[in-house]
Amino acid sequence: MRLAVLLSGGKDSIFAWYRAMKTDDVICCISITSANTESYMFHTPNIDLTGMQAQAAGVPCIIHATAGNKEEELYDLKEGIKRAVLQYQIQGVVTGAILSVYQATRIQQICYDIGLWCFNPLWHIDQKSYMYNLINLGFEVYITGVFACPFDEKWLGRRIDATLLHDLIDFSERHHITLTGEGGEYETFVADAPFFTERISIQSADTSYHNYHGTYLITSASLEAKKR
Amino acid sequence: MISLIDLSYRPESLSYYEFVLPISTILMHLNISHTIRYWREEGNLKGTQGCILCGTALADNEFVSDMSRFSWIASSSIPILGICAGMQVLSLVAGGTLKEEPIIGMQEITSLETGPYELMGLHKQFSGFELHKYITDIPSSCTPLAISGERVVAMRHQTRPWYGVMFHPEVRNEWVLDQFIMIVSTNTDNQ
Repeated sequence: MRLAVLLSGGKDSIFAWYRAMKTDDVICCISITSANTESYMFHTPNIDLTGMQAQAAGVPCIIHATAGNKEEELYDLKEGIKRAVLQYQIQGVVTGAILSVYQATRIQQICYDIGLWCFNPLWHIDQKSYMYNLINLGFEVYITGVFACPFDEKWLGRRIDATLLHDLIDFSERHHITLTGEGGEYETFVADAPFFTERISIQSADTSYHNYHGTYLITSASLEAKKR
Repeated sequence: MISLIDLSYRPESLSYYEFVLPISTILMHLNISHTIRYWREEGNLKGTQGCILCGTALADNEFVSDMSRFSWIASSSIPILGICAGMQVLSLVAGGTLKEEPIIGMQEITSLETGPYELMGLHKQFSGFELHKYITDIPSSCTPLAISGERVVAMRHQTRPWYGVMFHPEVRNEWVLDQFIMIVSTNTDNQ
C-alpha cells in the first residue's frame, strides 16, 4: 500500500515510519507547520527540520502551513493530506499516536472523509519496550522540549540513551510522567534512524528554560554521511 | 491458553500493531499465555480455553468477504470475545446483519449488567473508544449487554459463551478484558 507518514520530527512519527516501511511503501511524508505554539495537534520544536529528515531518508515531504486555530488546523491537515493524494497517489496515512484519543480520532475522521486508510502502528505500545527498542536499534533522538515538573534545563539537548532512559523511568514512576512523553511532558527530535541514508548533524541550538518549561531550538544543522 | 485471531486484510499487516499487539501486551501483563493466528489460516483450538477476535482498521472490512473461515465458531464451546470487527463476525455467525453507520471516537456507554462476574458488570456508565464503519443489528439469539444511545455496543449469545463489544477495551477499558479472562477461567466446558 502507498502510504504517507505524518511527520512531526519526533521519535514517535519516525518510529511509526520505520514500522510502516517494513510492511508497506512509504511514498512521502506530510508535515504540518503550525504558527500556534499552543496547538494540540501539531506544534513541536524544530518542526522546520522535518524536510531535512525526509531528505535524509530519500523521501519527498509535503510541508503544509497552518495558523493553528483549533478547528482550522484540522481543515489544513486535511488539505495537506489531499495534496499527498494528488501528488503521490497515497492510499493511506501513518501516524505516531500512542495514547492520544484526541489526535487519533481527528486523523481517523479526516482519512475516512477522504477515503484513505489510517494506521497507528505505535497505538498502545508497551512504552518501556519501545524506548529500549529506540536505543537498541540506533535511533539518534534528542530532547528538544520539556514541559513538566521535574524536568530541569539539563535535559534539553540530551540524547536518549540508557542513562537518560533510566532517569525517565524514575520520573515516570515518581512523578506520573508518561514514559514516552505522550502527555506532552517532553518533545524530541530525531537526527538519525536506521533507514536514513545520511544523518543530521546539529551544529548549534538556542536553549531557553523557565519554570519547568524549556526548548532546545536547533539553529543550524546539516546532512552528513553516516559513519560506518 | 487464549487464542487471538487477527482479522486484518492480510497477515502481518501494519494493522497488527494497532489491533492485535495491544491485546497481546495486556495478556502478557496479566501473565495469560496466548497464541496469535491470522483468520484465513487453518487453526487448531486444541488446548485453547478462550478466543479473542481482534478489531481491524476503519477501512478494513475484508473479513466479511469469506465468512466460511469462521465456521469453526459454531462448533466451538469455548468463550469467545469479539472486539469491533470481531463482534460483527459473531453477529453474522449468529444470524445478524450489518449496516453502514460509521462511528469514530469516544462514546458514552451504559451497561445493562450489574453482576461482578458479568462481562459488563463492573461499570454502569463509562466512555468507550469506537472505530468502525458498520454496526450490527443484534440477532434474536443474542442479548444486549450495553448500549450507546440506541445502539447496542455489547452483546452475548443466549446459549453459547460468545461475547461482543463494538468499542475497543484496550483503550481505557482494560477491565473488560479482565472480566473476559475471568469468564474463561470459570468456564467448565473447555475445548
